[in-house]
Amino acid sequence: MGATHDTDPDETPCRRPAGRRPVIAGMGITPTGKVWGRTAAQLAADAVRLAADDAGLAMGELDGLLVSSGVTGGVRLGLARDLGLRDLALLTEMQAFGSTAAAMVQVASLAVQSGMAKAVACVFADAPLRPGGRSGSAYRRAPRVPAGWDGLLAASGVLGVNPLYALAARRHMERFGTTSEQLGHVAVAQRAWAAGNPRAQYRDPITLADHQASRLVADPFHLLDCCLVSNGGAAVIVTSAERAADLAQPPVAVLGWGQCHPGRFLRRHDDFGIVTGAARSGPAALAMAGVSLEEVDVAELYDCYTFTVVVTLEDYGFCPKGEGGPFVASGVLGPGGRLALNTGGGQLSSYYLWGMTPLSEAVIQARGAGGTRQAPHHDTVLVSGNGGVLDHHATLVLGGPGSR
Amino acid sequence: MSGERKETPLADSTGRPAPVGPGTDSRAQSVPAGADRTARVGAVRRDDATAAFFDGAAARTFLLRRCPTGHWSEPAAEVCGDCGRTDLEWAAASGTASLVSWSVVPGADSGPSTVLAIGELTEGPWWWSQLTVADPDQLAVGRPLRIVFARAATEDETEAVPLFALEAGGRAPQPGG
Repeated sequence: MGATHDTDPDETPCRRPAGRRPVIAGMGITPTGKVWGRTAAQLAADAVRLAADDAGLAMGELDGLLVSSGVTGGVRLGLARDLGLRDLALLTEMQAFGSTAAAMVQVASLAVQSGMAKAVACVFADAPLRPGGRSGSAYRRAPRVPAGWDGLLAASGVLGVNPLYALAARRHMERFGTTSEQLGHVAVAQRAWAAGNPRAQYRDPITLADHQASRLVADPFHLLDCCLVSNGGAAVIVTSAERAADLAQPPVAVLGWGQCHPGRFLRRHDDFGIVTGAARSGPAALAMAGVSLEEVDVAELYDCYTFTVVVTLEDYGFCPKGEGGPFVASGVLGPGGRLALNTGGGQLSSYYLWGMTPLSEAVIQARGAGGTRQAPHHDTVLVSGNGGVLDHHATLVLGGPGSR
Repeated sequence: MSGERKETPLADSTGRPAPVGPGTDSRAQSVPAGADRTARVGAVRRDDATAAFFDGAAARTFLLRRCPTGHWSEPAAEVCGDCGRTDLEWAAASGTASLVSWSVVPGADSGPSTVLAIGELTEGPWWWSQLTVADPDQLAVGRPLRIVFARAATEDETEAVPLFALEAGGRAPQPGG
């Protein structure tokens, strides 16, 4: 307001201590799949304890908690009480569907950077499966006469998310000539990776013929284009590089992040199935990290469907727009391929914990703890989350030991 | 479903809607011949947000939202997608559309399949519903559609539901056209 400044604000030295650089210092995953006898809230508590133990942190050292419920809900703010966490500096529920896990790490990183919190647990858990129930009925709700716009959509026959993603995939196929066989290459490659993942629910190899022969769920999707349904929980601990220095695990740096929410669910969207929020979120995250796509060693991309992987690869720039189909069919995927992608089998073959699936495998790879499936280079790991019907996207760039 | 949208169940469509036969509701335009085999709509109740739309549907009129500038928006729109105005009014659409995308969903337990579609209304907005078509292999982007209405047979209180049908004699535009 007319006063002169001795220094340009833009040149003010960053007052953020170097030690507050955010890192992931711990991770915990409960048993996943047909896990009975634990509620979603109990699985969430299990996951947080596992993550703290993994990091070498006492539970009392956690001063932040971000919780994410899956489809069936049940993980609430009361988790803090259940874990015996008192006087937390940060506590909230977060919900951006499949992009939530990456988004939680972003909020936790901001809290750590700012000094608001010192060690933040981010947890997701869900328990949609019931003993004796089929996966196909896992998310079925009690019958009732539905009302309003949502009710009209259901009454029209547009039920569940499978056909909504199928409509997106169909657009991509019609526009670019993408084929079901090309999508199948994603499923086959990820199953091959899953063979090396002891946590994976499906580890037996599949072929393209198996993919094509699997039943149609919502044309063009076959069963093997679709993710699993899992009970389970996963958590990570975000803290500062300084704090992590004397903890139990090699820290995984959170180097950059981004989000994009196109905001056009059930509205005209000429890019529907063609370009997703990844096209903005990915470059933003890479720019924040100061790395180029060429420097990415490992990519863990959200794979609710094979198609989601294909369109995300395009939007991130791994191949030109429209060439995702030929790209994934060109032999670049799978163990030994040029692109280390979804190295744990992803949600198609390992376990379905929303964005925690790609995030957990990214942490494993960045640490170099991938065993027989470990990627040879893992200094820069790209992670995506996707929610809604391509409506919510979040990106993380993580760094292994050689990243700084 | 936006409030409690499900994330990727490995699942068939849930909660099969009641089948609709031709002439089950005299106020609704009957589903085209040959299509009744696949037309299935469920029951739906109106709420404050949808009351005017369902009044239109009962009169076999598909209502859209239109702003004073003349831009059209989807029936559920609260804000004009073009100019951001919030003083939208209901206006009758022509009821014609063209096919944007579609998915054939097999019926559970060997039941008949359904075709779900996105249609671009002639006025511009998109709509998501069932497409009653006997032979899905003939579908192509741009195929002319029209809106028809059907009502679930089994519920006491339910509204007419807009569906897509193929426009008689319609042909998709040629690629590049």
